[in-house]
Amino acid sequence: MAVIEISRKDLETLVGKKLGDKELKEKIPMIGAPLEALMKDTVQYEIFPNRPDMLSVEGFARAVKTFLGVEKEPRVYEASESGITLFVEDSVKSVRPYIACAVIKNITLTDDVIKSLMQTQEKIHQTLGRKRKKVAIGIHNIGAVKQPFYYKAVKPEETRFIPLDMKKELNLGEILKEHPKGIKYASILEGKERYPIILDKNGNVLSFPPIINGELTKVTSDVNNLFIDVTGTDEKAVNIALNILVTSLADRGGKIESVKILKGKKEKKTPCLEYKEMKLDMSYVIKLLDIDINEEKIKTLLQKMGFGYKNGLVQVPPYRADIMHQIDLVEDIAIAYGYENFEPKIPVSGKGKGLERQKTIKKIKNSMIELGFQEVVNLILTNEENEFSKMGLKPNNFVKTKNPLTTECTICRKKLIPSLLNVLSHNKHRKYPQKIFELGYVVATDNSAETGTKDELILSAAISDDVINYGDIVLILDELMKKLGIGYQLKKEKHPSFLKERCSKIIIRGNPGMSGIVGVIHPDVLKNFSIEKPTMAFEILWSL
Amino acid sequence: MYRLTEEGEQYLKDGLPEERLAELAQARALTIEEAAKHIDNFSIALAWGKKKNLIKIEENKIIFIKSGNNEELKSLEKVKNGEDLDKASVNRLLKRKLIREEREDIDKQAEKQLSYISGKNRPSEKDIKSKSKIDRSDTPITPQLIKTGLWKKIDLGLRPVNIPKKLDYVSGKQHIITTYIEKIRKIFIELGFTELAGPFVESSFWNFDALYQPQDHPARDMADTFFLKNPSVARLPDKKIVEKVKAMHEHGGDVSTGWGYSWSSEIAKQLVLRTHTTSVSARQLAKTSGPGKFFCIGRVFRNETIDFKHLPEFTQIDGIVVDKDVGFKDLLGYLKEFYKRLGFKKIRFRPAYFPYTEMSVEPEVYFEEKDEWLELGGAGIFRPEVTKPLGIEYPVLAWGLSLERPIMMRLGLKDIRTFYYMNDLKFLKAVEID
Repeated sequence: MAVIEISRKDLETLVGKKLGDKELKEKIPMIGAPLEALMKDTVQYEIFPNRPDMLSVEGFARAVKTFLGVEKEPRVYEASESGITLFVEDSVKSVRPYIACAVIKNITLTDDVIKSLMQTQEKIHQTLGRKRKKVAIGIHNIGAVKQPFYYKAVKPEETRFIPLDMKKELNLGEILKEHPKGIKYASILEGKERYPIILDKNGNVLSFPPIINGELTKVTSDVNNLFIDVTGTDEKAVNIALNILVTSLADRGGKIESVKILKGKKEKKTPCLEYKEMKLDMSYVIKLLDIDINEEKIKTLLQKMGFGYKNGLVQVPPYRADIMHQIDLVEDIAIAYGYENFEPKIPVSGKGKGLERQKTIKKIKNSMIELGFQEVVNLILTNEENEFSKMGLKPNNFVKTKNPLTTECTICRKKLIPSLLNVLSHNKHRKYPQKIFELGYVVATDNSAETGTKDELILSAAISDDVINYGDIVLILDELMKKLGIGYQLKKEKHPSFLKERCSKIIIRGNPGMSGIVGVIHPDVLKNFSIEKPTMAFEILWSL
Repeated sequence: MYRLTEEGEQYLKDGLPEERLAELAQARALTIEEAAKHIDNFSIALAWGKKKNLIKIEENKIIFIKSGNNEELKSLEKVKNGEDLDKASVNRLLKRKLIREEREDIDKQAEKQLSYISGKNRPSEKDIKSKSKIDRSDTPITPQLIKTGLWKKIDLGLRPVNIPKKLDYVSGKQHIITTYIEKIRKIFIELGFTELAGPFVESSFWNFDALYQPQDHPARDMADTFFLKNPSVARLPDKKIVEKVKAMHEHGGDVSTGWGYSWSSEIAKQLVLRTHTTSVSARQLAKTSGPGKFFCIGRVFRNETIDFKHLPEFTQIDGIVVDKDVGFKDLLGYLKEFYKRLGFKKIRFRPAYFPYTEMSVEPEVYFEEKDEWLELGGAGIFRPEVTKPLGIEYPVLAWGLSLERPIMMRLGLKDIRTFYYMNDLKFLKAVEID
């Protein structure tokens, strides 16, 4: 989740309108940016992943400007040629194949602009850039270097330069080990023989993407002309990121200039600020939104969301990353129309159908409740200690997670009795006798299944008290089976979790898919769960 | 079980003071002052001597009447040796505080119980009937047995059990989660929905890919999703569906731009614990061509550490409506009606983002008690990129709503662990929800 912080004053300047609490709190979020915090001087909004263009303060203000109607039509951006060339060598292909560049002239880097630029860069890196893996941005003082520029991949020891915020020269390998950014992002280049680098005419290093820029081209507040490089593994994302940056800087008064990118004989110019055209089917809009609307109104709504509309075609701005299908335009039309202005259509009642198994589930639960048991509900996730060791069992054949964040949740439970014992162990300060049950799911491995697992429904009940008698739980079981009309038979069983001579297998007549066990919990097991009162339990696997 | 008091021990050694006083007086009449010098515990000796009529006082002199009968000494002796003693004698000694009732220590009780269990000291049928606590031919397992480890010896003595014929109980109670789920099921069934169920362990294909979540989407990151080590991969469904999903991701089939990356079937095979029940909806869409209305209430998993706000499991309410003629207003209508039947009068809709829906909305309901709007989940219309590869040509309304949040709000609960983690029996017994 990306949250951006904006100075209220700066936002007002960019939007060109005074913005009261009400607008900030109620109106602006309806564009699709929930308010995170409203403070005296600043305001924070959450930006959804489909709108990286709103990660920049300028892009955010641009969206607000048309949404609030301060400006009727969105601004159109253009780039003139800078005459600068960047050569892309084949060596980058297997490392970081894509690059797009631009030049920004005559920008005044005020505190607001610098702050916003840094935030935009950081947020794009985190979201669209997938922590710099997919996209990374470098911004340079173009006055410090000479064109043409070269983008190539070199051996780590081959090139040395002074990285940003350091005093000494390091080679690329050393930067990954010593520079804080190098350490942080080294994993992106793991296993690569060559690392990407951007050089100028004289071999001076502008950038070692996606890690760090050179100290040489460091941007300070007195710099007016910038060179921007965006590199990455996804061409579309690289171009979008560049477009977001240059249009933001243009909103701050900078002039956008393009760079010629030469890849062998292939030549292109970046940034590409052309609007893409998309056809919009009016009947599609009307069918989905069911509002009284004509083409002219749709045009107004589209403009409110920053789109152009010409000759029946929607003009999609070059900084919008989210328009894949005309449904995306329909949503923006709905947002512009205002979700609050749609009258919900109340559905009529009908006759639906519950799962067949729910009847059995309800019957079992009701029976247990009648028999005096409190229903409990537990997590399906547990760990090997609870599931096996504490029960006196050896771990075998269970569903194990790969990346758990907590040692409490490493496997899926196979049985319910451990869950019930946990409940009893959490309730030692509560009144006894304690009679609890759970009818819940467990996950078992099953090679024949599509997912390699099967979900199973198990009923388990436990009684804990000062004095317990095995006969009582057998009697409960008997009553339950009578209520459910299930024929069963007990057979003496030896099981490490139960006391000898106080444990039986439950065999269900005519249903080999069902089975169970009943007994007095072994005192060692009780100790493992630090339960002091004698406890007995049963567990029945239900066939679904 | 009784034990001599310090006083009792002393008398057993030295004799009873009143008897010693009588002895002394028998030899010669002596003044009170003289006697006091010879006899310890003189005031006791005097009081009991007079009471037992062994001596009398005349003109400051102690006059002998008769010798003591040593009866209490004999009793003390018996207590000391652990022999049986008649009730009257016990009471007499107790009254004089020469013995005290020994509360058996845990070991001894357990020991006794053990001998009872193993039949050595088994009470007669008559005894059993007179003592309600052990009114069974069964073996009670007690806290003492567990604590002392003496249960180990039980093995020797356990005998088969006769099952008692009768049972008395008071009614138990349903968990609030069950109550609420029942209520929600009823609402959807009355609205004409068919209930679905699907697996907890799910392939990335059904959990993510079929829902048009790109394979490098942050939601698929290790941080949010439980991936599985054993088993680790699933079988993919029918090749036709897989190919269509792949095409949609890579270049949008012939309807969309797609995400524009190279889709991997290996990533799609990775097993996860489902992060939403929307996977169940996706499976259903592949099975049907519509129209239809389906819902699913089930446990979902997120890789979180446990605290008052987070649990790695919670319950989601998923619903889909597949129909030629439904649109955005129907979606809002279903949500409004659902929450109205659940008891929430005011609802509003905010723009939202999910990779698989467009429009995307977040329904929020109003809690009068707190004067607060609460976000309750997500909803939207499935993108064509989701429905087309699954063979659905109609719009599909969809939602995934939170079960626990409204309950917590209703009950004023701050800690989500109250539900699945703690199961506080006092709370569960007391709590009511409508």
